[in-house]
Amino acid sequence: MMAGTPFNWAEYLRLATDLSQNSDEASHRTSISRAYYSVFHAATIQAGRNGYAGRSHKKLWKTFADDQDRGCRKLSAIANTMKRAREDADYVTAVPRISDEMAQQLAYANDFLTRLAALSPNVPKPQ
Amino acid sequence: MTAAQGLNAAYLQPNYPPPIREQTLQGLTKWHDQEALLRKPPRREGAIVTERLGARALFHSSPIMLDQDLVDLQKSYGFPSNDSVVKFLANHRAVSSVLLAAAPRLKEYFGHDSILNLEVSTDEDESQTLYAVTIWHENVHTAAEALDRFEENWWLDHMTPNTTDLAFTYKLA
Repeated sequence: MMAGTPFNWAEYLRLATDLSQNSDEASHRTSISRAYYSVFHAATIQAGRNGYAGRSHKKLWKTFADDQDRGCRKLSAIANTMKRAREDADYVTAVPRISDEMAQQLAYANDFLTRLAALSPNVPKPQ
Repeated sequence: MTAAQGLNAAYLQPNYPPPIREQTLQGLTKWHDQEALLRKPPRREGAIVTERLGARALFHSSPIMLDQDLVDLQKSYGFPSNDSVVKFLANHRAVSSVLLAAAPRLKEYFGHDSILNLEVSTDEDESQTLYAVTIWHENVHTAAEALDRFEENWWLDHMTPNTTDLAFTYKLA
């Protein structure tokens, strides 16, 4: 890839899916983390089209949560669940049933991106 | 006095339970203080009471918030041993009433015997989110389904700009 070429953040979800095929816990933890960041960046791009700017996870999901559009609020709810799982995967030493959790996080990521693609292009509107 | 002498002296006390003899694999004989062996472990309830008293004391230090809210919340949610949740609630007054209203709905969708905990998550930029976490022992997909129904039937209609620091999730046990 040439320097400066925009990275396709969907590659994170592809990587997360690939890692899920491995049997080791490090792969499963990283899969959960990449799945979250795939939706974080996709949502940042969507919000950015409407004037949003920033890298704060809290600020981004608040932008979705505050919107009048119910679909945006649903995305903020899914994202906060994924964010919490990502934090556990990256920081907590013992996570019960992490392979089960990984499968659910991949399902969340796919659901999130489907819902995001179905949103009106003019939402969310930053306050 | 040696340990053996001490045990012997205690043994000679009236009503003191006799020591238990253990024959080790190496053929050695060990004597154990029966009362110590039968002693109950520290009670978890005591620790919780201590934590609650500490949390309540901190809550009282905030003159604005209602003490009754904290008491009611602790009937539905488990609090961490530190004061992070109480401090969060003191700074986000609108959240308590939403949590109180959410508890029966969470029980409705996750089950009436489900365990609910409150946890504060702090981001790298120091912003905080309060998570109401349902501890889940069953299939992960059923947890996701229950959470989805809770969101669709209740939470999405109760989100306000004052509650965007609050989130609901599950944790597998």
